[in-house]
Amino acid sequence: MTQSLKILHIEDVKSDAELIERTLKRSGVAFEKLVVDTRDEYIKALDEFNPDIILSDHSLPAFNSLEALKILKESGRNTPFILITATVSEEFAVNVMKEGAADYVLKDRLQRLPNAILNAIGKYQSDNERQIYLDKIFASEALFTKAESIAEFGTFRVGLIDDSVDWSAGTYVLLGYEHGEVEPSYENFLKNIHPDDVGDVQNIINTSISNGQPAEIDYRLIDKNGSIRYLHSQFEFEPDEKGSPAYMIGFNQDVSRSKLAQIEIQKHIEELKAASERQTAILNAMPPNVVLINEWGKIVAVNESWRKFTLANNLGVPRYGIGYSYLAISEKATGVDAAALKKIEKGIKEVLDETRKEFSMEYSYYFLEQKVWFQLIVAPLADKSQKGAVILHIDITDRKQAEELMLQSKANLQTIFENTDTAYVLCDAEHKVVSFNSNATDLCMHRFGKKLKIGGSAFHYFPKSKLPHVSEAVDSVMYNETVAYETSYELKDGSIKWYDVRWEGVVSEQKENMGFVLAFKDITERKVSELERDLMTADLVQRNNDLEKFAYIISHNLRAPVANIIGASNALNDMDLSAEDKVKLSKGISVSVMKLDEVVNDLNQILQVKGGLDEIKEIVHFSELVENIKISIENLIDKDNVEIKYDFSEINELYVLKPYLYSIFYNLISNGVKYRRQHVHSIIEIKSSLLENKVELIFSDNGMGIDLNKNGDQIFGLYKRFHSNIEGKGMGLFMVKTQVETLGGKIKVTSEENKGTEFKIEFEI
Amino acid sequence: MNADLKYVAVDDDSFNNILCRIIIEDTLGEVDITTFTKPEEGLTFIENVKSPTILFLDINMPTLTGWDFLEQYEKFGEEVKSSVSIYILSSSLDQRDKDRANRNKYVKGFISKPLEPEIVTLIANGEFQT
Repeated sequence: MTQSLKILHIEDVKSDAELIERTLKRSGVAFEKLVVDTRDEYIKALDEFNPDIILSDHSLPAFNSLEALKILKESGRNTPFILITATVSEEFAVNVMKEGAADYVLKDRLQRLPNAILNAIGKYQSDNERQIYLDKIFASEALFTKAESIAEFGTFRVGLIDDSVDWSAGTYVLLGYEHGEVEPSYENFLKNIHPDDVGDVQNIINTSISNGQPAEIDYRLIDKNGSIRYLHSQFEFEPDEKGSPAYMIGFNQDVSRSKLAQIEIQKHIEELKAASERQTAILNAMPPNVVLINEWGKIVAVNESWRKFTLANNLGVPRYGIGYSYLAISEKATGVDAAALKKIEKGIKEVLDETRKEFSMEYSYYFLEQKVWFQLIVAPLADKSQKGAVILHIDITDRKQAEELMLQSKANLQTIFENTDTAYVLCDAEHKVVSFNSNATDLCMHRFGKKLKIGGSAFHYFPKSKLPHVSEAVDSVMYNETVAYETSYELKDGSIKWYDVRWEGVVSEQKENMGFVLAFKDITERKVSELERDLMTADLVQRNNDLEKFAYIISHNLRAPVANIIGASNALNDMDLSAEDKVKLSKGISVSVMKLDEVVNDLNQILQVKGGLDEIKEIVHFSELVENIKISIENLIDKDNVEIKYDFSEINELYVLKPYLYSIFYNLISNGVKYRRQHVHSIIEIKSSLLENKVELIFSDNGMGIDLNKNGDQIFGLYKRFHSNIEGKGMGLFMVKTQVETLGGKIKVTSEENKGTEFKIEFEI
Repeated sequence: MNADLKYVAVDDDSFNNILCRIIIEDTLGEVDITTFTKPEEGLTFIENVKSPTILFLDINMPTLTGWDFLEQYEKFGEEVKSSVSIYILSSSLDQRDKDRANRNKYVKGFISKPLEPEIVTLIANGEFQT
């Protein structure tokens, strides 16, 4: 022993301890010894002293050897324990040995102690070494199995001559079995392999065995739970002493993870490829020219449209400009002016610097003498790895042309709008004024005293009285009907303005109502002439009727005496008449001839009045007229006690043709006298009134009156007579009416039999 | 010729009535002729006619026209109407007057003045046709 033996001695008797020490020294064993006699000391010494062997007296005051042994075992130490005792029964000794003591030595036979110690130590040492060896073996096997399971591999060995088959634990697992579940065999090896792969595996193995060359194969395995795993197997051959293959050594590995990962990766790659192809397709299908530039403004990719564009512009730059400066190419391609180019350059720079999110501008240039418009959009390329931008060039020529056309047509429309003689107001579906021309502004100001404004309700401009009508018109146009009518307004100066008003619905292409147009056309001139014409027509019709009547009456009144003359002269010539009859007839002829003459005279008088107003107007005083007439019919008035009263206080004069007015006054007054009632004090009253722009003259009497229900339409007729007992030709009222109308006035009559008659004459002034 | 026929003339023109009387008497000899210058009186007379009577009626009269006369006549009894034959005797040459006369069912004919002996004969013989 090169080292001194560390002996721990449990002993409470000092002499005994010394005795043992002497005994050991004598034997020549190199040792160092520690004596303890309490339990605590013992435990402490086990740790700190770390003895090679423990000697123990059996009985101690505090504890005994069995306890000490137990403590030792519990500490897990494999230290030999020898019991030294004075007296001990055989049975006890065996018991102690059973508990783990290495030996026991009687005190009276201490000479055996050194050998016992050496034996015990030797035995324990070999035990320990073997244990360590075993431990190592076990540990390595466990490690291997563990390694197999972790690395998911397994090995096998097939005896080619003796047909022996060995599988490692890992192989069982890999092939889908529990360890030892089946006999390792070729059949069981193939059993769980994917049916599609079995053939390949067999082929490879057969080929490999027949040519003795190592091989490897990947195949699929179906697990117990049905999932597929991917295995990789390698084989090689172990020769026997003669050098011919005796064993096939195999190595299996589960490569599912990497295989699946690989499949996954492949899938990703394909997806990426597809996505990329799609994107390329989309880019190529896009009408705008698309250019991708890198952070230095160099073109890195282009789409199909750009390619066509560069070809069309005959740029002569290789690879459609890829690798060239975008700005240089743009300039060359389009001849865009310097200012625009500078703006574009700045925009691109800012997008690349990320100082602006997007840059967009419209520019134009001439291509084949045609002006073309493009919208340029620069957007950052969403790529983490590199900076860059995508530049889109969208051809907006059509839109621009349409815009220009629209502006032009808008301008044209505005010109028409402003140069028409019609006032237009355009309103939206909410009846709000959207647009109007200057005619409308003027009209609204003159008519309604309101300034026409955009945005206000159209109803706001109309007077309240017109609103129901306006509202109805708007309702109609909302159903896309046209409302048209003529209307007149009196202006402040009293003149009348006529308008042709039209409400037209405005309809979108989708046939929706978008509002309406209100058009006012000044038709005053036309309307006035129309009214004049109507008036003239009515007047002409009246005159024509009058003429017809006149012709009829004249013919009758001429014809009657003529017929009498013919009849009488025939009778005188052809008949044998008595002298008396002859006298009657010749008298009758002369009366008829007189009548004929009278009619001709009347005719002359009437035609003179109807002939016109060649005579000169003058101021005529009514009172003067009446007084003159009174004198001329003085004899009638005196005789019949007729009272003629007048009141011309309101107006006593008229600028008129005096003879006509005199005739009118004369006829009406003399009629009043002629057709007075007997036994009634006759009063004839004449009164003048001034009404706005008219002079009204009223002649009333309390005479016989006329039944107007019966004769109303004939009272002013020529040769119409209603009282057969009073002399008259039926000329007076006819002449009155003719003269009043010739002077531009109107005459009306009201009358009741036996009450009186009232004539009302109006002259415009 | 019916010797019992009576003749009536209604016309505001008295000379026409005289002329009528002379021509009828000269043509037919002594007959019963009554004339009225006031149509209202003529109407009253006609209303009481009981024997066959020829009426010569003027149209243009101041207080009651021939048309008004006919309207009143319409109200008379059947005895009167079956006795009276009405002839319009007018100086009018107007076709409208002739048409209107012919449309009236009580008017037998329209005679333009002057009344002539030939017409009187035809009427007396019931042979007159417009």
